[in-house]
Amino acid sequence: MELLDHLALGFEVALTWQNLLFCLVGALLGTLVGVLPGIGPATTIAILLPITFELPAVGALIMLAGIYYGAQYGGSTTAILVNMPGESSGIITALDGHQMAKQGRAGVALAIAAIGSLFAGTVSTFFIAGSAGTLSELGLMFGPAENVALMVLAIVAVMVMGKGSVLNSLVMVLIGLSLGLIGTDVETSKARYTFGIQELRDGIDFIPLAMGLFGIAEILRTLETPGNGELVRARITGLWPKGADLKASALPILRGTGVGTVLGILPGSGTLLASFSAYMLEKRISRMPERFGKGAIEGLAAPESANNAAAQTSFVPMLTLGMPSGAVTALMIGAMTIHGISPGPQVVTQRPDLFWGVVC
Amino acid sequence: MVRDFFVAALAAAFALILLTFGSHLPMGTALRMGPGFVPRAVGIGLLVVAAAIALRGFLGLRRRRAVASGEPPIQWRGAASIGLGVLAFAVLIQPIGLIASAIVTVFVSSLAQDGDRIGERALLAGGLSAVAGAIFSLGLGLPLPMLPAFL
Repeated sequence: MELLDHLALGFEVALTWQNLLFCLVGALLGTLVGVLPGIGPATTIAILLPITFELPAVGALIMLAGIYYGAQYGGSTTAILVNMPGESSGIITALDGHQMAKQGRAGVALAIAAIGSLFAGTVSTFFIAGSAGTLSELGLMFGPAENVALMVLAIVAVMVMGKGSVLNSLVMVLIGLSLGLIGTDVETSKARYTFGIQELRDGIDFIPLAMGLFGIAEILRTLETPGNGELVRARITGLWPKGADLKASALPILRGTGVGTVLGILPGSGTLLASFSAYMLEKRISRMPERFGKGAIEGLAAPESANNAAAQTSFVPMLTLGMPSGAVTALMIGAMTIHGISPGPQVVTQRPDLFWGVVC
Repeated sequence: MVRDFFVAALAAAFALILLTFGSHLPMGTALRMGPGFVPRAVGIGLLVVAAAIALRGFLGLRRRRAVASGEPPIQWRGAASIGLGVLAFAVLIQPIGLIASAIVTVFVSSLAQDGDRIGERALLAGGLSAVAGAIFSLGLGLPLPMLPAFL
C-alpha cells in the first residue's frame, strides 16, 4: 500500500512536536486575526507571512495552513455574529448564520459551522491523500508547452469565474501582466521599467505586492459596504445543538462536503464557487425554500462544509500544478517561493515530506 | 455607468506608461522576441480593452439615463485616507523612524471612518505603533530606524 506509506511519512513529519506547535500557533493566530471583522484569510496570511520567515520550510507551510484554517473559521464567526464576512465565501455563511444569531441561536450556528468544517476538512483530506499520487504523476508529464497552456487556462478561468464583467477581469489580467514586466527581462537581461531604481531590477517583491493587492484592497473593499456591523448582543446560550438541529444539518453537511471537494479541485475556482453552489443546491432540493435567508440551518451547514472541503482540495492544484485557486493559495505559493520551493509537479516527488506533511 | 470610464482611464494610463517608457526597448520578431515585444503587446491590448469598456460605458449611459443608478457610491474618503496613510508611511519611515511614522499612518488611515472621536484615534495610533515597535524591533530584530534620525 503505497498510499499508507505516504500517509505514514506525512504523519511522521506532521507529528513532530515542533510542527504540531507551529500548527497550533498558526491556528491560534489565524483565529485571533480572522475574528477581527472585515479581515479575511487572505489578509490574515498577508499580515502574518513575515512571522514565518525564520522557520524551516515545512514548519512555515504547516503554520500557514494552520493560519488559513484558523482564519477561515474566525471569519465564519464574524459572519454569523456581526454579519460581517471577512472574505467572499463568508457572505453565504452570513446569509443564514446571522439570521440564526438574531433569533438567539448564535451558539447553535457556531457549533454547526464548526462541526461542518471539521467533517468536511477530514473527508477532503482523505480525498487529497487518495488522489494526489495520480495527480502528481500527471503533473510530471508537464513540459514548457503544457505549462503555458495551464497558465492560459488559469487566466481564462479567472476571467470567466470572476464576478462581474469579463472585460473588467481582462483589464485586471493585463495590468497584472504589466506589473510583472517590471524588472530584468529573462531572455535579454535588459532592465525594463525600472526607472534606474536598483531595487526594481528584481521586479516587484512579493510581499509588498501581496500586502497591497490582498491586504489593503480588502480593507478598501469593506469600506464599500458601510454600516452593516449590527451587533448581536444576545447571550450565546446553548452552544450544543439539539438533536433536531443535528439531524437537519447532517445531510446538508454531507452534500456540502461533496460539492466542495469536487469544485475545490478546479483551478481558479476557489471557495466562493463551492459555498455558493452548495447553498443553491440546498435551496433547490429543500421542501421549504422560502426559509432560506431567514435562518435555515441547512443554509448554514452546507456552504460552511463546502467552503472547508474546497479550501482543502484547492491545495491539490496548488501543490502539484503550482496553480492558485484564489488569493489565499496565491499567497501560499508566494510563501513557498520565499522558502526556496518552486511550486509545481516536482514538489510531490522531490519534497514528499513537505507535501504529505502539509496534507496531514 | 460612470465607473466604466474610471476603469477605462486606469487601463489607458497603464497602457500609456507601458508604451511610453518602453519605447526604447527593441521589438524583435515574433520568433526572436526582443525585450520590447511583450510590453508592447500588453500595452496595445490594454488600449483595446480600455476603448471597449469606454464604449460600453457610453452605451450604458445612454440606455440607463432614466434608471436610477444602483451602484453604491464610491467611497472617496476611505480610499483617499487609506492611500494617503500608506504613502505617508513610505515617505516618513526613513526620516522620522518607525514609531512616529506608524502613528501618522494609523491616524491618517483612521480618518476613513466617519465620526470625530479624536481621542479614540490618538489612542489607537499610539497603541498600534507601540505594538509595531515591540514586534518588529524587539521581537524580530529588523534593522529599521525606530526613532527620528535627528535624535
